[in-house]
Amino acid sequence: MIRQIVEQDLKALTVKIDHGLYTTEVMSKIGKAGGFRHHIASQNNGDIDLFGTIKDMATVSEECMSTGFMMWTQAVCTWYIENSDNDWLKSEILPKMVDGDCFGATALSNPMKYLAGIEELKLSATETEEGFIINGTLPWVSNLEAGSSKHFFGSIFSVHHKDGERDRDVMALIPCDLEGLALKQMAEFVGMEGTGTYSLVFDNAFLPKKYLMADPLLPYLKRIKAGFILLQTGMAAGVIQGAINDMNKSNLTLSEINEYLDEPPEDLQEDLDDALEMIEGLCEDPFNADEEFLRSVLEARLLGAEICKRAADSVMQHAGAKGYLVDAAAQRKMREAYFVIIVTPSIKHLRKELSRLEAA
Amino acid sequence: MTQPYQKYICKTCGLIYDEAEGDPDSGLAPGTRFEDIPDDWQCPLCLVTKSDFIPLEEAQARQKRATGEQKKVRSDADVLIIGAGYAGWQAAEAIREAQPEASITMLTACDGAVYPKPALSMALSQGRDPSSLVEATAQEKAAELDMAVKTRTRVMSINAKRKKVTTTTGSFRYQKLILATGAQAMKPSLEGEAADAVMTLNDLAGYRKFREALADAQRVTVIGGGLIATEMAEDLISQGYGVQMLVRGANLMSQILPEAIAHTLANKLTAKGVEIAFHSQAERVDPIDQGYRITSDQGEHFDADLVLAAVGLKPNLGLAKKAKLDTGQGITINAHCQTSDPDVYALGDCAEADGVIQAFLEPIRRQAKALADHISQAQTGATFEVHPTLIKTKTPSLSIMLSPPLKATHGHWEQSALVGDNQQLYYRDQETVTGFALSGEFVNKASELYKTLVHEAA
Repeated sequence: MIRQIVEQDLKALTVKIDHGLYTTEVMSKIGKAGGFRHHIASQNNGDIDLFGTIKDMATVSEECMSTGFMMWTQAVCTWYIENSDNDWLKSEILPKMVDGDCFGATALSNPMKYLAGIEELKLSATETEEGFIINGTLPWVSNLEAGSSKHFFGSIFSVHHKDGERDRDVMALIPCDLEGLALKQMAEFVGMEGTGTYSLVFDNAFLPKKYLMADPLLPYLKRIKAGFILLQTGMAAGVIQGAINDMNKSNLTLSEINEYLDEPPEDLQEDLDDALEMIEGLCEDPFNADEEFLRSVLEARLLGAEICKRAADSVMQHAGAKGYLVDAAAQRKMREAYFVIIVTPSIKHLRKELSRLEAA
Repeated sequence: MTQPYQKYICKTCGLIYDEAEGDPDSGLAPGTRFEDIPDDWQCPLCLVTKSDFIPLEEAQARQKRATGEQKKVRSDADVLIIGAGYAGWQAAEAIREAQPEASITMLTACDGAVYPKPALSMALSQGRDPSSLVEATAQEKAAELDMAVKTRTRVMSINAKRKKVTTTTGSFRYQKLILATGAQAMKPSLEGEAADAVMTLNDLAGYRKFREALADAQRVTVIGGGLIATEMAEDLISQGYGVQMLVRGANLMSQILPEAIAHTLANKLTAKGVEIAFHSQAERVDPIDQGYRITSDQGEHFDADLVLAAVGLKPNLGLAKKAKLDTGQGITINAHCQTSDPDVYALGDCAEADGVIQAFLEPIRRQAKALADHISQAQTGATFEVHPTLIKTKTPSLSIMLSPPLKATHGHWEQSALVGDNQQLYYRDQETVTGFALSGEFVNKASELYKTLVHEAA
C-alpha cells in the first residue's frame, strides 16, 4: 500500500517538495493506508508495533525524506497523545491524526536541549483557572500550516504563578489556529524545504487546559523517550536505502570505475540490514525503563546517523559528475542524510549523551 | 660486597616482591633473595608461583619497547576479542603465543588499561593510587603483542551468520570471536533520594571514582558481607576511616567461609573498629546535612559520607543473548571455551563451564590457554576443566586461605584443628572432602591440601 502511494503519488512531487512545496495530500493517503496506525495501540487493536511505523517511514524516506520526516513528526505527535492521560484528545484528535485527516508536529527540540542542560526553555506561561497564557518564540517547527484548524504540535513550556514565580514545566498539544500564535517563515534551508517549517511566535496566546498532555512532566517524558528516538530511525533507514538504490543504479554504467571506491552498496546494505534487525528487537519493549535499554536505543540512533554519513559520501562518489546536478537523486540523498546527521539529536549530541551514561 | 636488594613483579597481578621486605606472611624474612625463595612459594596476591615473576627492570624495559608504533585497526581480523579486562588480555597473550602471525583485534568500551584487579581491594593499605595501578595503556600492551586495539568502542551486536560485529563507528569481521565481556557489580535495590549515590566497584574506572569520593569522606558504610565487601572494609579501616558494614546474613563471606573462621575474622575486624551489623539489609539511602543516612530493614540508621555496595557480580550477557548463544548464569562454554556457536569463544567472569562461573584469575589463565590451543589447532592438549579454586583473602587481621566446594551441596564444614586463631576445617560431602578452609598459621598447608584436593577431583 505505502509502496504504491510512493510510486503513484509521491514520486512526481519529490523534487517540488525538496524545493518548497508543502502538501498534506500524500500524508492523508499514507494515513488512510495505515502508515500512522501501527504503534498506536488504541487505534490498532491493542498492538504497539513501532517497527511497523518505522518500516513505512523508511519506505517513504527512500524516495523523499522530507515526507518521511513529516511522517515522523506525525507519528510522534500521535505517540504523545496516546501516552497522555487526556481522554478528550484521545477521542477527538487522535483518531483523525492517525487517519491522516489531522496533522501532527513536535516542538521538542528546544525542551530536549533544555533537559540536557544545553539551552533554557523558550516558552513560558502564566496559569489561570481555565488555561495558560503563553509567551515566547520557538524556531524551526515542521509539518505546520498557518491558521490551520487541522494542524497541531506538542510543546513544553514553563508555568509561572501570577506573581511571576516559576512553578513547574508541562507539556500540551497546541492547535495552529490558536489566537495570539503567529507562524513565520524566517530561514531558507538547503533541502527539505517543503516540510512546512516555521518559527512560532506566542504573544499572550491563551491555551485552554483541555489541551494539557503531561503534568507532571518528567515521568511522562521518561515513558515516551525510547519510542520518540526509535521512530527517528525510520528516516535514517530510508535515506540510506535510497542512497544504496542510487549507487546500484550508478553501478549499472560505472561499476568498473566504482570498484575503486571504499564503500560499495553491498557493504552498506549489509550494515543497514543488521541495524534494522537490531532496531526491530529494540521495538519489542519500548517502555523498558532499564538504563541499559535506553543506551541501546541511543546507540541504534547513533548507528543510523553514522551509516548515513558513509552513505552520503558514497552515493555522491558513485554518481560522479552527474551527482553534481542540482536535482540529482544522489545530491538530494546527500542533503537529506545530513539532516539525520546534524539535526537534533545530532551525532555530537548523541555521543555526548552516551558518554554521560558511560560516566554515570 | 653484597648486591643491592632487587624488586620482582608478578606478571599476573602486578604485585611487587621487594627482597628488602620479604613476605613475612608466608615465612620469607626481610632480606630473602628471590633465588632463595622455594619454588612452591605463591604470590601473596594472586597465588601464582615464583616462575610467574620477572625482574621489575625487565618489565619496565619491556614497557618502553612497547610504546612503539600503533598498529592500524583493521576492519577484519583472524581473532576479534571483545573486552579488555584480565580475560581479554590473557586471551590475546595466549593467542599471540600460539599464533605469531594471526591478526588480532580487540574492541573495548573502556580505556583498555592493563591493571591488577585483585589489587583494588588492598590499594589503600599499599599506598597505591588508581593511576599507579596501571601497568600499561591499551596501546602499549597492544604494541607489545603486535595487535590492534580500539578503545571506547562499544559493540552493539554480533551477527554470527556473517561473522561480524557492529559498533557505532563501523563493523568488524572475524574468523574467530572471543567474548570477554566480564561482569558488572550488582546494585542493591534501594529506596530513598540518594539511592543513586551508592557506589559499586568492579573495574579501575569505578575504583577511580570511589577514590575521588573518598578524598572528602571520613565515614564509609559498606553494604554487603562477602569477600570484596570484607576486604574493602579492612582496607578502609587500616587508613583510619570509620567503617560500618551491613551484612544480610549471620556471618561474613557466608557463601564460601565456614562459620568458625568467619566468626574469628569478624572479632578481629571489630577489634580494629569496624562496626558490623549482621542480619541487616539496607533499604533506604537519603541525603542528610553531611553525607547520607542508610536505613536498614531493622529500622536502624547508619550515617556515612560514602556508601559502597559490594553485593555480588552479574555476568554481562546482553551481547551473547542478542546473538542467541546458549546462556545459563553465564555464557555456556565447553572444554575448549567454545560457546554454542563454534566460531565464538568466551572466557572469564561472563563464562559458565559445567554450570559454574569462577570469577578468579587462575581459571581465566587456563581458559585462555585452552581457547588459544583450539583456535590455533596446536593440539597441545590444553583444555579447560572446572577445578576448585584456591582463594587467599586480603584480610591482614587474619590470614585465611580456602578452597570452597564448587557447588552448594548437602555437605558440611568439619573442624579438624583449632589452636587459638589457627583453624583448619574440611568440607565433607558424605565421605568425600570437597573443600577446605585454613586460618592463621595453618595457611602454610594450603598449597599441599589444594594439590590433593585438585588431584582427587580430577
